[in-house]
Amino acid sequence: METEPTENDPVVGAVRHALFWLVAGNSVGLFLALMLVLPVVGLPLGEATYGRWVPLHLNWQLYGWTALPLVAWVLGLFPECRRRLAPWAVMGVRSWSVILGLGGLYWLNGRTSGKIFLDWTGSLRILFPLVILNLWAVLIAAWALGKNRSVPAVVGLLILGCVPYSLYFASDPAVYPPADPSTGGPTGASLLNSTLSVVCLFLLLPRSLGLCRNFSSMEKLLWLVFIGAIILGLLANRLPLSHDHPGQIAALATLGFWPPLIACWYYCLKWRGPSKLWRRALFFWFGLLTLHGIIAYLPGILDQFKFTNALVAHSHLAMAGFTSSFVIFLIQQVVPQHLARTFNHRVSFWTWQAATLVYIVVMTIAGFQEARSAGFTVSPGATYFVLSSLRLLCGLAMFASSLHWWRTFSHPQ
Amino acid sequence: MKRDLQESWRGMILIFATYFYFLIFAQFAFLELLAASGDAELKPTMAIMALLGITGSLATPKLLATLGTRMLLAIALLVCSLSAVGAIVANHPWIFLALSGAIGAGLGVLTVTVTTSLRSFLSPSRWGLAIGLGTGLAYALANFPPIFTANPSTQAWLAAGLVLTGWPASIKKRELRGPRPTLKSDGRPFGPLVYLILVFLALVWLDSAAFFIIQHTPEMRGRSWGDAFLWRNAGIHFLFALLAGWLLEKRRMPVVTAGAFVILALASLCLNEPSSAVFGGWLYPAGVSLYSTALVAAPAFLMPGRHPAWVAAILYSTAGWFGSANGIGMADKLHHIPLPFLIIAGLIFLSPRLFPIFRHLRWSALVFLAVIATGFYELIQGEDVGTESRSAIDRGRAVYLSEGCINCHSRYVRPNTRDEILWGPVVSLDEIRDEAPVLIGNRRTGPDLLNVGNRRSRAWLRQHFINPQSLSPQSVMPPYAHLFAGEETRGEDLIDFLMTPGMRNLSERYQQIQNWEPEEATFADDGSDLFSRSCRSCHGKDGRGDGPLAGLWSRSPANLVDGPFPYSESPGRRKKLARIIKFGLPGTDMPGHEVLSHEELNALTNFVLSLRRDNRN
Repeated sequence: METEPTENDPVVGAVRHALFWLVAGNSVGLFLALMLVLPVVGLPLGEATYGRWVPLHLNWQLYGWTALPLVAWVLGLFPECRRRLAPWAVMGVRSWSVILGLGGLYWLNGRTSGKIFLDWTGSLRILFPLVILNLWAVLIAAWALGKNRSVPAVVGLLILGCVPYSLYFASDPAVYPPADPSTGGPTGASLLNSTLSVVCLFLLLPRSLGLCRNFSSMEKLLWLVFIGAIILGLLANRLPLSHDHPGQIAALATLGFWPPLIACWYYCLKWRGPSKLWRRALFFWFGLLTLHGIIAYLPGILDQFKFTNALVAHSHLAMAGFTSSFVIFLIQQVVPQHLARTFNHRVSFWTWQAATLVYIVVMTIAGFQEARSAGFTVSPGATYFVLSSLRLLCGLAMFASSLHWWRTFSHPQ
Repeated sequence: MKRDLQESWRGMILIFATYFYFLIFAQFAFLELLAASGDAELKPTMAIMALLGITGSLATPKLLATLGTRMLLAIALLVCSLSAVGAIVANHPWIFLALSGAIGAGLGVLTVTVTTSLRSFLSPSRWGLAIGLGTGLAYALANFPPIFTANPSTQAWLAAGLVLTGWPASIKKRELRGPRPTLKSDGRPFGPLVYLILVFLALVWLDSAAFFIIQHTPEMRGRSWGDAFLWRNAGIHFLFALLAGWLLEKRRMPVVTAGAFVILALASLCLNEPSSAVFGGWLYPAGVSLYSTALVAAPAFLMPGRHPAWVAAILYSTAGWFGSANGIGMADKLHHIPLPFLIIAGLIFLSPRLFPIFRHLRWSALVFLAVIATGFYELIQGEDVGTESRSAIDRGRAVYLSEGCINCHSRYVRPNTRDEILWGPVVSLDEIRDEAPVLIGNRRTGPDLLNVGNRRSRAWLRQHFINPQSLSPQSVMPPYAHLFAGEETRGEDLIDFLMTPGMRNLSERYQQIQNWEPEEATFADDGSDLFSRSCRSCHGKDGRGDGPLAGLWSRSPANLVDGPFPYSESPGRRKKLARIIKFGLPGTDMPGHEVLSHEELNALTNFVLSLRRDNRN
């Protein structure tokens, strides 16, 4: 997978774009946090009010910062993407960013589907899947030109070919997943199934990077457990949807096995480059996220936390803590080592981690306050402004870290 | 010529058997049997067929290398035949699902194997005509009235039997060697192989969309495939397949594909208008037969490459299965064939002529331009929120979406929680899910808005949108005065939308309020601060109903000092006042103060009572 980095290396390019969207998403997040403390700062922007800015923050983080490193990973798996097909792959990555930029204009103009995290409407609902399809075509071409004709590669390509359709389908305003009638939120089974897709990435990563030549007993065990969990998820779909049902709770609680199991396996593998720091962070956040998720789902707790800042804390733990650590760890595996070191800068690393943790604590406290009294946010008082100001400061720290990564990655010494 | 055709009978039968099976069974009778079963779901079944069709196509090159042509043909023919028999007796959705997978895999393998090996089964000098005959016969027989109008079970039996005629034909083959064709790639940004795959992709996509529209529009079906037109269709199919075969043999592939595209595009435009559908009925079979013949001939005779099996696998998985699934999906969704699609497809056909013009431009610049132009075009078109054709409530829902209200407000009352007393009666999840999109939301930076119509009046909502802080001084909500400015109707539409569910369950809200009992709690203060924050803007600083916003409401705010309520020491009085403060007076402009804690509510109630008491004293 290792090739000399060039200006036209699509893998490095995709990471650079991802970092740009991290900075952009964080800037918007910072602005949103500021508007909650000082609403007056939003007034000069006219119709571009708070509600119109939120999709920019959410979608740029998801489709920019989180998705583009996965694109980099997949492009890196097919060497021809970095050779003969490099211009096409680079074009695909740039088109992706163009769509995200256009998306920003759409959302600020009030063109939205109303589907949080699936806010692709109008032409964008077709253009974005087409851009993904274009990248898929590059992968197919790279596969055809290359030597990797293995069955997993073909299966992987077939699955990736479904992504544009899934996105188009899921963005349909008429499509809505099963919901728990007692909370209006997702069911335990759907949370389990979506988390298992992340687990699947964990399981695929080492083999795709060539770190496992043979199937070790540990790897076999993990895949067996994974298949068992998938079956469990399917069975849980047939249970009553309420989070009060013991079956739904038990199904979700099985996620608790994954962080220690995968951490043990990853510990035994020989990873590329200087990724130890982020690997530790990754499993810290993965463990905390799983624990937080299971506890927050319990009856009595979810009833209190639903719709409050405590679930914002959970989302932040998922995105800034877990996902960002996973993404950076992944990036460190696919880019040249001198670029991978960008993320190991001690100050930016610890600033990010500390700010994420404080943010989670602050929002959990705010969630508790909201659970006690709905007036905490509807008619906010001094505590609300103190906590919101702390959140703003955390956001500022995270923005600074992301800016540092983007600048040093884009202009390595 | 006669000798050539005699030499080619095996190939012709193989083509006929494969195509006939596809046309009468996989594309037709199977779907009818599926629909007749009642329980089976069409979309997942078709998705499985497409997925395994692609898998079967892509697996064929490896299978050919392992099993050889004859063995693979025998297996594929048998699988197809047995699947057809199975569909006749199937009685469970899971069996249909399994059968659709078998049909997809069987056809995937069969088409790639047959088209790859045609050079071994056909005469080198009359291959085009033989392919035309095989294809034309299959189409003609499928349109033969007694077969076309037979019941699906009979059609399935026929397909199961006729597909097996390919078996004896496949037993003997000879090895024919000759130069494979080469195509020029001058001026194209991609090779001829990719170009031809794109061409066939566009054609299959177009054909499948047109087929779906005819099939699912009774009027068009009557005008195109009605009993009176079946003989005509059979004839057109047969003649144009022969014409295509003859042209292909003369190396006139571009004429065949471009001709098919023009004819199909015209047919599509005709099908978009019921008045001209009758012309579409004439054109459609001609276009389909032209390109279908070329599709059969392409891997073995028309496309370059050292590995015809891979060429066929990619062609059929991409153009065949992928194109057909997309065509059906497009027609299912849009119910017509959009003009931009025809333009894009036309550009693909013209690309060998067009791309040399742009060769000095970077590809990426073109793509950016296309994406940005499309996006900006739509942005310039403007938001269609104010479209008159929609009801005010629908327009209001669009404003709710457009302004991102969902990012701060939920629209869901959780049953058996304090939500009910705070935000009003429960509306069932099923009813909420009927909305598209579902607007449950996931945050409550502001209150839940599902029942806001029974908690707040129109006038209150309007004032709150224009200047939120005038009514809720500590609110962080931004103003939406622009929705009410000048001729704007967005604000009133939004209010219409917000009022609807709440007004429907007003009586339930009254009942909730009557059932509510204030709790005894320690008073935090004397309530004057709370009064100043929550009541002063309407009731005035002294409670005499003369606050700065008093003039906005349909009735003047109550004078809390002099009336309207008579003073009495009755035990129910305090409770009644606490209810009014907490829940307001639904149906009037007096809003509730639902989020006040018990302590705050008691303090405020006492303060309001003290206003009257002080006056009395």
